Amino acid sequence: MKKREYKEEKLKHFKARTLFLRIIKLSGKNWPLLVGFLVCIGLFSISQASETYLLKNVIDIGIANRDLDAVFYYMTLYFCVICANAVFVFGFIFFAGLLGERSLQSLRQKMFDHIMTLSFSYFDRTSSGWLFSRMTSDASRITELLTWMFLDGIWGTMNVTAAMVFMFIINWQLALLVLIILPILVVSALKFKGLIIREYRQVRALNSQVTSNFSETISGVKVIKSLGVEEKNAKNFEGVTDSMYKTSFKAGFLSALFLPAVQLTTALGVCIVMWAGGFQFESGFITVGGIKAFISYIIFMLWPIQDLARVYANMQRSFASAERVFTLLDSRAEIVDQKTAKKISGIEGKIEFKHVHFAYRRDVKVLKNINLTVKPGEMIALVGPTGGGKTTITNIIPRFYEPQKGKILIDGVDYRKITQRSLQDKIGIVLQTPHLFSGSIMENIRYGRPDANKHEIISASKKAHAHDFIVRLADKYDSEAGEGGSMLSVGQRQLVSIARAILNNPDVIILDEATSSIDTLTEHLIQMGLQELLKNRTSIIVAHRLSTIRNADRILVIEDGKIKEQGAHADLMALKGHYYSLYTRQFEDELLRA
Amino acid sequence: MRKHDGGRDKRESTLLVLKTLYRVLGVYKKTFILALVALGIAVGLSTAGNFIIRDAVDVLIAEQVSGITIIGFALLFLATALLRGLSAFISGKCCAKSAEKVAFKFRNDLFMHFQLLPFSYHDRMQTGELIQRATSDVDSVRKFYYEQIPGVIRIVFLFTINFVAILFLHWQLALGSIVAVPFIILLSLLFFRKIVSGFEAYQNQEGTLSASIQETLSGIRVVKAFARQEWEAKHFDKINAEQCRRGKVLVILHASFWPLSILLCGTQFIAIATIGAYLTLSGDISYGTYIAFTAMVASIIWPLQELGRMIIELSKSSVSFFRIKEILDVEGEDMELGFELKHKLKGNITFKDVSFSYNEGVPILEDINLQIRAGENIAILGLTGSGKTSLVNLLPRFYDLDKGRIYIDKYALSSLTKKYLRENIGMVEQEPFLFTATIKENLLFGVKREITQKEVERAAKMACIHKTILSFPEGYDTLIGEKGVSLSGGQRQRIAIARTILKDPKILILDDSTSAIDAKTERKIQEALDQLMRDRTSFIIAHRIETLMKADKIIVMDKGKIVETGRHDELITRPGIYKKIFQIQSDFAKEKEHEKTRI
Repeated sequence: MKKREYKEEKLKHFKARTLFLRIIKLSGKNWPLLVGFLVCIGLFSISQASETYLLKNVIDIGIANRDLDAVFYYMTLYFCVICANAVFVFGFIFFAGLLGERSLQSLRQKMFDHIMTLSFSYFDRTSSGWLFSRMTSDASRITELLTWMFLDGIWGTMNVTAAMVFMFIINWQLALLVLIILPILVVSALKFKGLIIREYRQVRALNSQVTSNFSETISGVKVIKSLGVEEKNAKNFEGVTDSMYKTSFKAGFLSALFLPAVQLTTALGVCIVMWAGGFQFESGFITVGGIKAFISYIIFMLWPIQDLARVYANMQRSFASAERVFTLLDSRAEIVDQKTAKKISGIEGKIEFKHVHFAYRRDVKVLKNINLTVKPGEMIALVGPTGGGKTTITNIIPRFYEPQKGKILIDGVDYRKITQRSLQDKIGIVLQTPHLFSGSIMENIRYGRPDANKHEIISASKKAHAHDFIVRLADKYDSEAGEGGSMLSVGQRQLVSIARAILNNPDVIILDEATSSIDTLTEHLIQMGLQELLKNRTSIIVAHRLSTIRNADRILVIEDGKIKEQGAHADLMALKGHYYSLYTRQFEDELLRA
Repeated sequence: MRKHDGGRDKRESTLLVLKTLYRVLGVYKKTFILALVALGIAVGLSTAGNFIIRDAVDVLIAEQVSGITIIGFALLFLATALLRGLSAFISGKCCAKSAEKVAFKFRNDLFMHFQLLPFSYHDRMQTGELIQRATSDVDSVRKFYYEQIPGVIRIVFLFTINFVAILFLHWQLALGSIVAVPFIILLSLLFFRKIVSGFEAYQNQEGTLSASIQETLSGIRVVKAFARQEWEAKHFDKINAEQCRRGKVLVILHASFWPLSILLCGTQFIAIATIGAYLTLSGDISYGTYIAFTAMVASIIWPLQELGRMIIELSKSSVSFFRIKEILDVEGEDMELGFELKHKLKGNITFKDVSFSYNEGVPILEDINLQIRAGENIAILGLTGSGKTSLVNLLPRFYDLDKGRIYIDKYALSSLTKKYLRENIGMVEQEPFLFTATIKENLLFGVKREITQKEVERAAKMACIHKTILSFPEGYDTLIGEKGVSLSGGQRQRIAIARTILKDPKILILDDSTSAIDAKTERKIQEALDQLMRDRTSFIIAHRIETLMKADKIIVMDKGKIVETGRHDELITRPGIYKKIFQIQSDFAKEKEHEKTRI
């Protein structure tokens, strides 16, 4: 098959409002949690801001008037506020945390279920890495937006508002003064933090460069050692780490400058307050407690303001994540079961193609008017040049793709009237490069039929001629297959996948024969295993091996999307047509290799 | 792998850890100390600011106010603020410098060390594990110097400086301010210990979840082919639900810690502020003192909530540090140990009773005896796992022998330096590794002498790759790898062959190096290889009899032993593995030939 070329899935563009609403909708039936934590965080900001106000009253009303009762009164109120704080804090952590975990779970579930329904054509266009990031990092970034970023945003706004309100209550003239400083503080904080964020973004980019350097060196260590290029390689690497050092240091330098700068601005504000307040104090305009409260409020407002840029940058990233996730969730499966589709319990094995046309992309026709009847139990070998349409035929039979024109009948029934699952369950497919899952060999074979017992698994593996190599492994059937089957050799993987297919006991077999070179004895075992698998079943094989072709009941020469010739080997050779020239060309290679 | 022992002699080891981590700073010790001193000054100045406010208030209360005094106080306050800002900046800058330098040094050291680590180590360790140590563990250590130590020291300074200041104001009040402190610290430590283990459990589950997603996605075609969507969904459901459950545990922990801590700190503050108010009213302390006092008590109590988190993070970073050190402590290969000859090797090789195993008790090679004359071609045949590759890997000393000796030109292999040995041995592997660099750079990797473009092209022509290279947009300067063109297996093998031609070694090892090349091209390359093998001792590992039959000596291996040796025509007359494989392969060929002629 041709190498796939993936393009980044074309992103849908959402309006910010739509996006926002959809993110909120993700909370689903957990909406009370969303409301709960928003209320809690709002109340928390207010009660937190009132602490300072109460302390001011302790000073101004209690101490200044030498009124001990007033001191106790306001201190008791203060204690109540602290208790309320504790309750609100519990509330927003609990509600937001729970909301986050639950929405993450349901979002991932939704995505997983959705991916399961998508058709093959979707996976042709989309790399698994793309989908992986949608389900992991993007999903958690969206729930973070729904919880902690909302929280930060609301807390910050409420915080500043509440502080301003209390300041106006205490002394409106001074509050106005602060209001003038505020925009300057916000703007400069945003600008400055923007610079820092840019540096850190660069650090991240350099960091992934460092990581890929490490990974290349570790996986290429044998070549490095045998070529003796350790020093040279290390020197190259030092160039990367050096620029990483410089960028990180710059980011650190700017960060070190940021906080003092913000604090100095505040100090300036405090000085203005003291200066203005001092004169006002003379005329009895503001109290000592009032000045102290003002200082506290200004410091109190600083936190959300200096955090603003970070929250904003994160929100943008989350919105981008949401766009990607919603694009995925909005993609529709191209092949959907009809409502009246029936389940089937078995296939006799008659497969008919009636005037079948197919194209992956509109402009490139892959199959052109294919007419074909496969009799039950027949073994069909497909041969022909790469790109001629062989693999497409094998993909159309289990309805991984549907023909754009024409019909396919299974046992005389149009297969669009059959549910996909029940059809695919009865068709066994053995791919060229078999994919195994991590887990034991036993579990991998069991994948063919989840309810099979140990006996049945071993007997299937014996039929596949896989048993002998499995029992020679250290942990026998419990040996780990590795991710994708990486702990086994290619030949062993094929044997296991044949055993898996035998256990599955399908009525129709589709086989894409391997082309890679495997040592002669293992190759021999695979051939014998396949013979067992194909026995008494309808089979369609993309054939690369001479022996397979010879055993076939019928050979189809597929070229340019059409069936050019068909018949038994000897007949086709006698024709001296496409098959003959193909045969002499393609199998000369095999002849030379053997 | 050596497990890290955390439990024993904890106090002693904490001290040792601190000492080691101090030593790691190297020439940046002074910078780091300066950072901490500046931090102390900044904290001290903020306390001083409170005293200025105290005096200002008291002066105001005494109503001896003049505009000049007020401006004086304001200027003084501004000056302390300025100085404080300056110290904080110096502290931050110095922290950044020392932390980033440490990270820089660790990255470079680890990189070089990875290249020097023996194969036996690389075989045991997974790539991902090593990368993680070189990236995220190094980052933890960086944070240790950048955030964690300064964070803890800052809390310590805040506590001591303010406490001493309050002591100076009113000592009974000062003692009363810290009644709840032990409880706050205890609570914080206890909770964060739980939170850390809860978080680890959560992270582990996240790993399981990611792995499960990854697998399903990469095997999606199998899932569909077997119609196992529902089964997979159920499986994922379980993992996902467990993740949510572990997340809830964490949420509940946080939701209980913070309110408790707020209550504890708040009560302490209110209690002492009330007592302070009472003392002010009874005239024990001044109005201004009360105001400064409440500000300072606040900076003693509230930061302590975070102490537990910081201490726990500190201990986690030290684990990261030891994970890095564990690698650096593994002895790397000494490339220079032994002696070198002035001239190139001739290539006589003798294996004498050689045995070898990767793991004790599982022998890979047993009692190998071989005599190879300089310039001979040796072909090795055998099933997967019979020890072919292990045998040739011994020659560049990628592994050490368990038993026996190998001699090259009468010198014991172990007496020659690895550097010299590897310069004299060329290897081409089944799946050759190419670097993310241009084709030319890849070809010249490992060549120590000056080489002209002409020579490069000649080597590429010999390996039948020159035309392919020219077909790329930038010819020899085309980038290969993720960001450049991707090559087929056969093209990679041919580039590796050209690379070895340029290296011009005296001993050549071809490990299944033409398997991905089609038969026609192989025949062409074979000529190049034949030429390359002339005057060099060479080893070829292959499956195809056709590739092997011309060798001076064929070795058949089975289960770590040499079971047959001889020339092709000798071996096919004897019953054995060679004959069997030869028959399977030639029967097949004959059958085909037969069919062809029949038609």
